[in-house]
Amino acid sequence: MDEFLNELKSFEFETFETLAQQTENAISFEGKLYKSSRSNNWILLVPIYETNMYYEFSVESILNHIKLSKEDNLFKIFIKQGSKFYKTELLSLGEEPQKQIKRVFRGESGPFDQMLGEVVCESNCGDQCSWSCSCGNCQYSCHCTTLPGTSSYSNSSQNSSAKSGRTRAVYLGTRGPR
Amino acid sequence: MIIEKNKLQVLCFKTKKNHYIYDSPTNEILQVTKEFWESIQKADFIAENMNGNILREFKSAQSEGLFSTKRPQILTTFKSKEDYIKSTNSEISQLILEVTERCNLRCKYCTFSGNYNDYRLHGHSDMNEEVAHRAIDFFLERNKDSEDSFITFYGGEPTLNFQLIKSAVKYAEKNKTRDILYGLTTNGFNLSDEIIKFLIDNKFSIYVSLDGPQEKNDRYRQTADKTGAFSNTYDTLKRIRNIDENYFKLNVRLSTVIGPPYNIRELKEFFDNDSVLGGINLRASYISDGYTSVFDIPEIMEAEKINVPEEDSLRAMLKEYKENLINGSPYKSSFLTAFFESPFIKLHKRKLFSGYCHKLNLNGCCFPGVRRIFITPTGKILICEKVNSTLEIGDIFNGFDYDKIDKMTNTYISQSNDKCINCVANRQCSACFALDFTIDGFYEKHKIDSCDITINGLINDLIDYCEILEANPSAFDYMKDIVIS
Repeated sequence: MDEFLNELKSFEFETFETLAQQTENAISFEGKLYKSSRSNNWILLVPIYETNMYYEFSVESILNHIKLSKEDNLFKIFIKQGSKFYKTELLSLGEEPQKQIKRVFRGESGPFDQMLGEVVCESNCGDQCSWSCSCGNCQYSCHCTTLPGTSSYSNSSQNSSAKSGRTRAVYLGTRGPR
Repeated sequence: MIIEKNKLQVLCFKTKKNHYIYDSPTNEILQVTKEFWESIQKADFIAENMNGNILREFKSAQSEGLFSTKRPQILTTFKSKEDYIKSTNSEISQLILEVTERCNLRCKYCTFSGNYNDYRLHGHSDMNEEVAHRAIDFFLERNKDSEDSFITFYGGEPTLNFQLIKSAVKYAEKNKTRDILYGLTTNGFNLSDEIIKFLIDNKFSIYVSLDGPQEKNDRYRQTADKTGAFSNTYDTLKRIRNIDENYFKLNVRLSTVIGPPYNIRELKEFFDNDSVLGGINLRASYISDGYTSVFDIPEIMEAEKINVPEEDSLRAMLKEYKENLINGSPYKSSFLTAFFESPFIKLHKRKLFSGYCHKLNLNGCCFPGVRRIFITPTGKILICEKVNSTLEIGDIFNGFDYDKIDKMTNTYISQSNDKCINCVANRQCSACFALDFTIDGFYEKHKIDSCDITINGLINDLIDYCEILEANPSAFDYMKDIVIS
């Protein structure tokens, strides 16, 4: 944290007056600086009142896109959006807000083909999916014969019993009494 | 930012301890704060009436792929026609021979009883040697690249054409290029010692149909003269066990159809504790509800009216099974495991996605003609043993009818696409060609009826799954040893 603040302090504010002129109609912000448990980065959290939206900026992003001013021992941050700079009151230093969402109970399969991620078909067939492109022409060509999630789970009464040792019969029908 | 909530594909559910959201596009289960859950649950729009903190996390989650508002565009089998044809020519893993249409029982819920539209009636046709051998040739030629090689015998009651089974096994053994595993689905009625010895000698896996204790079994499983089948079938099982107990434990499984009244405790006590069958592997399913008048049969209608004490009910037994899992004893009751385990396997082994997918797999549909083929006595090829006669996809003399398969697949896609891409359960859906086609074409009503059941079932399964893991985070670790075929 100290290091970051030092970086902030090291900014030169020579252009502040100019910036201030440019931001006469700027929206004012309040924000919080906290350390993200997810990325381990310092995060500047800035709500924009008019739109009720929040923005997160990494430290790197802050240093690249904001200008700073110091008045009355308070930092003021000017955030650049497009060609405009917006002014903010700085910023209490706080704890990360309580997490509202947590991924849980992710099963044993894990992310499917995570290495491929959101691949886009190199042949421009328009496919974009999170597991593989199926156009057959690119390096992400699909070689699966059984798709995740369903067909591999169809009733296996006939052959699962024959696979001695490895499997048990699993009936995966979900229909209950009418 | 304004998002209509119905654009999200989420299910909000809660347990006594926590609030959750199931995010369908990613297949993720999200534990959320009560505040967040209520905001999503109650809001018609995301943005209005939300505090900034919640909205910020929602946006952040969206940037990570959660809460996508984009829909998959098409259902697909994910295979080019060329690849598909190649698979049908080399990757068929299972041949099922309907060696006879004859049966020595007249079970009330039988698919061939006349109560299921578009299925054949009890017949008299037997498969002959020429058809059986040709079917085996057809299979062996197209099984080369499959991981497995199964030949199974089906009916009618297949043991009524036992000589053909013997001939078929002899022929397959003579012509095979790799090990073949054999299977038989039988009612176990009047199986002679000769048949039993043959099955043991050839290491058959056998499925014997038995629905529970005598009164329960004989309510629906009867001969033509209304004699209950229990005693005879039970005697067969006892004889198999007496001849080779090890074989019995490893290779004999029961197929149990559960009809009303739904006294599940009675079944559990029987299958877990019976001196002959106690702890046997079994597969349990309900009477099929697809395109049928079977539930209009007076005996079944009457049975549906019988009240089952709460402590013996489905709900109570599920609670008991959940306790077994929480206590680290998933196999404490083999019956409860067989009956209740499958949705949890499906959830625990679900694939997670990083976000929006352009394509969505075709529900639980197989690739017709790849996973298995079902051969009728005259040599027609059906997709599997569960489908009606409208899903014929060729014959063993002329091969697969790819145009017909295309038409069937495209019909399924066109009739399902709009609903499925918008359905919150589309990642967990098991619907397939079976039961959704009639002689008049696609049976939309059945598909839609099953959608409600699937979605409601998914909510209940999610609640149970999370409750179990809240109590014991390792409860499903044992599933690592389960390989789904």
